Amino acid sequence: MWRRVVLFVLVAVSLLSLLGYGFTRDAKEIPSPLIARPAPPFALPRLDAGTIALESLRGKVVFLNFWASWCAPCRAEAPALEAAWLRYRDRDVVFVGVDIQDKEEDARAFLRDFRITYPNVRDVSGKVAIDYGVWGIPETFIIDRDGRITYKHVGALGRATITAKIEEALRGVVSASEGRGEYGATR
Amino acid sequence: MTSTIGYGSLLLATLLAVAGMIAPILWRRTGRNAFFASALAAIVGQFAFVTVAGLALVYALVTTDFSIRYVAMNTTRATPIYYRVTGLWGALEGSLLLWEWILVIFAALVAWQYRHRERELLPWVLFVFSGVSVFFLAVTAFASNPFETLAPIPADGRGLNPLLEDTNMLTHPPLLYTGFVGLTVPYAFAVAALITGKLDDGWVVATRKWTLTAWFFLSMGNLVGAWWSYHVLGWGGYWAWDPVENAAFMPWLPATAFLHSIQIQERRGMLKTWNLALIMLAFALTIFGTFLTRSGIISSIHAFSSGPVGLFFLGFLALVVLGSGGLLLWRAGRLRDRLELDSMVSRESAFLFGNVVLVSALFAIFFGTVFPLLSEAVAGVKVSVGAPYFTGVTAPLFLALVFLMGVGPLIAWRRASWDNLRRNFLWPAAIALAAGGAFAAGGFRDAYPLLALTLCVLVVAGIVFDTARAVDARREIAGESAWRALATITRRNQRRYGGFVVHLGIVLIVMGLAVSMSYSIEREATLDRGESIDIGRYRLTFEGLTATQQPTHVRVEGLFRAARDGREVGVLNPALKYFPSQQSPIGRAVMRISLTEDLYVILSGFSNVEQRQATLKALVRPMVVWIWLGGGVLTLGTLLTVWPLAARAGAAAPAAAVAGGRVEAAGG
Amino acid sequence: MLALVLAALVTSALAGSPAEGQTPLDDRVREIAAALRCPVCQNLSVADSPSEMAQQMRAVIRERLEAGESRQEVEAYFLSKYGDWILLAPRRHGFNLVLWLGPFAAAAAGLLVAAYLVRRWARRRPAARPGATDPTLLERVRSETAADAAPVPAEVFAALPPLERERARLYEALRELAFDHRAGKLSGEDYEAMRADYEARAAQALGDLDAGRARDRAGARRRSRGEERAADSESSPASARRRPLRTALAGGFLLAFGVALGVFLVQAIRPRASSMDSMTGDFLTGTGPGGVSPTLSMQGNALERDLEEGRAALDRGDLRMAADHFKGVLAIEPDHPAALSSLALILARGGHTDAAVEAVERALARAPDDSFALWVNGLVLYEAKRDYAGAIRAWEALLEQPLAPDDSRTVTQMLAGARQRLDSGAAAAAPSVPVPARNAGDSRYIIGAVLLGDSLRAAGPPAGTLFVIARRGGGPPLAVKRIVSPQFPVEFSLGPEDVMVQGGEFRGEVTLLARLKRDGRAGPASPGDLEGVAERNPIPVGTTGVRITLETVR
Repeated sequence: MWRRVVLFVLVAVSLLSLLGYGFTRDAKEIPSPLIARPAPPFALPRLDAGTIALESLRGKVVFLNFWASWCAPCRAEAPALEAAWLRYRDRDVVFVGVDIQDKEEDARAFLRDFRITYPNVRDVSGKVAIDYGVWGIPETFIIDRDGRITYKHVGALGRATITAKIEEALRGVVSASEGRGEYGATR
Repeated sequence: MTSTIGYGSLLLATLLAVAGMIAPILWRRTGRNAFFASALAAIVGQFAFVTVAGLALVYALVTTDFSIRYVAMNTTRATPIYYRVTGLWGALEGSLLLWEWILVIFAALVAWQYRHRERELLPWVLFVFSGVSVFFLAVTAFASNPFETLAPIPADGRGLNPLLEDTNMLTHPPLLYTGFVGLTVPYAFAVAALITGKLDDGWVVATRKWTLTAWFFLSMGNLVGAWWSYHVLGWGGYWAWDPVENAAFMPWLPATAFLHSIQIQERRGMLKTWNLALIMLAFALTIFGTFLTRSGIISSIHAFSSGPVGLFFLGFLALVVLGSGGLLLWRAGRLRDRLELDSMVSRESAFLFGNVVLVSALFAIFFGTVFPLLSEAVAGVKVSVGAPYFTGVTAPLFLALVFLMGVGPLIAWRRASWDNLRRNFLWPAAIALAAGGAFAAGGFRDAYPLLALTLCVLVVAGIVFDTARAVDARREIAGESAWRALATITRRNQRRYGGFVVHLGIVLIVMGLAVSMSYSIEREATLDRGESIDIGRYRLTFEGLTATQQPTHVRVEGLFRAARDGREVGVLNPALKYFPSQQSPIGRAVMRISLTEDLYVILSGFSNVEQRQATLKALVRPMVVWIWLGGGVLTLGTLLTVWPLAARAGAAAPAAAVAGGRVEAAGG
Repeated sequence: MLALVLAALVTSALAGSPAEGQTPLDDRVREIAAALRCPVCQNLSVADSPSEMAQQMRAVIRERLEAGESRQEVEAYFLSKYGDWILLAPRRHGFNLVLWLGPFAAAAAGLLVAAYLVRRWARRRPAARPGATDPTLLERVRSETAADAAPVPAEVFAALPPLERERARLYEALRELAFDHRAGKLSGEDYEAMRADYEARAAQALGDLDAGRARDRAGARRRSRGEERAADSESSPASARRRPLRTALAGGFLLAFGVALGVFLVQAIRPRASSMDSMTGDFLTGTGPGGVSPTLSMQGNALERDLEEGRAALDRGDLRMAADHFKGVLAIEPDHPAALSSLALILARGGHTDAAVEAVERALARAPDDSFALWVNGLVLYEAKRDYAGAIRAWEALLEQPLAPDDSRTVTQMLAGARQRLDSGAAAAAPSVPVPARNAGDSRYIIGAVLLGDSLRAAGPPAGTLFVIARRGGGPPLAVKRIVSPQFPVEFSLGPEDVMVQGGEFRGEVTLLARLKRDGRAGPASPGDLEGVAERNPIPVGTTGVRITLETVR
């Protein structure tokens, strides 16, 4: 009799704790296997003129930000990104924005609205976004001088995080975990 | 004003629910009938006040009283009236109120029906109802209050999600909720039986019709959901094995098992513990379902925005599971089965094996639903479990179930000898094999659909044969005509023949599922004006795009001319609806439906209206209509089972009837 | 016949070859896409999903197949980008085997257990009592079951006392046997064997029933309901022993439940600072400030939100709510510069000068270059502490930061004012705190200065209260700003928070008037008061650099 009780309580409690564990997880999140891996190369056309290829930026820290004009958290973080760019531009750090799932006019309007001065490219086919495993928007990758991804952040970034993670990348430190902010879904 | 009335009623109902829990305890301790009356009064009071609160919210929704936050979030001035009413269950707070409302309606009905009977059990039944009611009322009143006010009052509301503005929104949630809540009735009786120790069949018989009703609503709710998914959501499928869909389906399995195994309990006095466990499992799964939808621990498109209520539901679920299990273990000693099974090859064993299969299917689906969590917790890897797993694992189980459905009616109770088997199975099996051969010759070469169809024919043949033989036997006894004989045996054995019709409905559904899942054709193409694609027997020609402004959205329609076997059959115009509040357009697929197949066309995209290039996705899905027809037959079967057909004239005096009587409970 | 009809109907559904016009490549793309999960919709496969990302993924699959990759290679590609999650069903190795094999193991185990139990029950079936059965009872059984009586309602059946129910059950079994035999379901031998068995047992039941009835008639029905219940519950000494323990456990459990409920109730009824605030203080739900999650930080989310809401509240003029939000930010990040600076502003407006200075100094300690912190620092020093030198230092440092042109103009203006103040060494009651530099570029404000007319400047600072009034047309005032003991030149900024009318909007063109009232009360000017109108009335909202010169009213 008591064996049955113990068995039942064991099964029930483990099941309930598993469900309780679920509260500490974000169900929608997709953890990225790309951290500490070499960043996938790309060559995309800039919104002004020319192309940017990731290889050409080897030796500098790259702050790669995937965004779209219709995405509210992207608009929220844009001023912080521009301010960070201005702070870091002469420190071997390059900011590159990748516009996805967007129309060209809307993208340009976005850049004008927020007076973005760092280079932005357009990923029309979405292949680069898939290459980086993008699932939320905005998504930011920080790539160190050796071309390794040190940090991934899904969602809007704040000034403190940007500073901290760029500093880490400059030192070549790989982040222990991904970051999370307010994000939307890709289309 | 409305919000004060509503919220006040909720609080009063909560107090009454607490009183409703205390009264039966006091009645038990003191034996005074006054407390019994109190318990009844508490239920009636809860019904009254929750109805007031519900009506208050409906009134606020219909009059777009934007001072209430819930109304502002779920309606706009432009929303039609019937969608304003559906706003009642469109979001978290209102859906909890709806659940509670249905719960008190059931409680009041049960209290009314049994107020002069079951005097031993009824107070505890009401205790359980009040207990569940306390939980839902407390969560509604304190954690997710639908009557929260807004200041300043906004000029217009935010409106319902455009995906939900559909006629199915009027039927699917209420049906499903009624099914869920209906399972509280047998659960309450089971708990009452355990508490009082009155563990004979009284509680089972008392609640049979309630359980069947709840089961029926659950089946309908799921079918309407599948219909909605297929006809409106526009991805061409009817079941995505989404965690919340699974959660709605899971209580159905133990409920079905219960409906069958209580027959064994009634006839043989066995499986009492098993039946109690089944009904408690079913109820726990309904709570698990609401927990899953509201907690956000598993990603699903159906999920309400998660709030703190998830934690409370987990707590309540823990209470239900541990409490029910504890009660069962406590009284386990009292449940003495009569152990009257004659043979392993008998209808009893068929029912038993059927139960095992149903519970295994339940386990498979449950395990698949929570496995992502388990994998993350134990292995640290985030996986997702979807259709390939669920269909792969449940298909053989459901096939086994269909086989048992065919065997069940034909095999004798107690013991089936070889002679009996030969006699009963020869013809149906032969017909089924012949049909199988015909199917194979006709083009069904794949194992699963072929097997499924053959077994379905077995079931149908078995039902027909059994009924025919019973009619013959009846005619021998009473000399009636065939139809009258059929009527008589149906009347005398409503459960059996109603069950046969339900099985026929299930067979239609299974056939529809098996064929449409295995033999659908899909094509995707980008077409210029005038271009066509071929799919199956159809040819679709793209004629052009039109864009129109509707009251709430911009609608881009594509015109496709469809021809079948060369003959024109009409124009299809799937559309994309662009709502201002939505990031992506909402698709509207169109179908050409026939008994044998559906032509399903989706407009995936277009370059732009002027350039006149459209991307479409076309599907031909055979025999989908059979699923909906099966649902209709299932409804008829359920009605046949519960409809009060038996002429009460024969049972004039209960004593006389008992003296020599046939027992209606244990049908043929 | 029936089966053939069915077969015909079903096969007609399959007429026409399935793959007409389909290329094998399409099929392969769809096959692979059907095994991947769409990251956007999350519960549909890439093949089924209508989303843009799914379309792009299908294009990628097609490209890779055309380039010659195999199915495994394509799947491996997606796995390398999204991890195991992207597969619609987990791969069958490692821990996932638990998932794939579990249900089958459970089903097999269940069937085996069921089979074992059935066999055991079948063998243990209680045999009929040996010995001759009373033939009269057998006769009665046969006669009573021969008739074909109408069914008994189930509820009546359930309400029968146990012995009668047993008898009714056995009678039913006999009738059923007869019917099944007649229907041809049972062979002759089966029927005879089972019938004899059940008749014997029915006869026994009859006998028990007769004996029971005799006993009942002999003894009176002594037992009251209370005794019955008492007998029921005290079924054995063992249970009587366990009873107190169970009661105690139940009581303890209910107590804990009640306490938990009470704690949460109290939490629920407290006023919530914002809609994001959850009942449990975000303890277990992981949302919002203080959320639990070692690997996932939800904090950035809540922080940004609180900041935004705080700024919005500040714009609205709801200082208390704004302060709450900024305090919320500080709860997460104790030295958040923007939050500290905003809080300093609110504190200064409320008159808590020292706290304001402390807050803004903390902000500057954390972020010495933060433009907003420098601006607020200067303001607080200028207004509250009248430390003009400090303010000048702060604003000069501010001008070195990149600023919007409107902002730098305002800062320059303020700097000039401060320098002037420093030179003149004036000390008087602090004027009202001007609006932060953010408003400078904000088109909802009118910014300007009130100056003393030349003739008045020599006379020294006038006493009284300055009202800057905006009117639209000739009606009552739209917005009024009240400045106590003004220090001329007085900078002012008139905005939505100064609007007098509930729900009135501060936009369009207004006429500006400034009036210094010696009695300190609002109202028309009396002789001796000072008054002046803006130089270029009417003025559109959003204008900066407005000048109003005061002259004596006669």
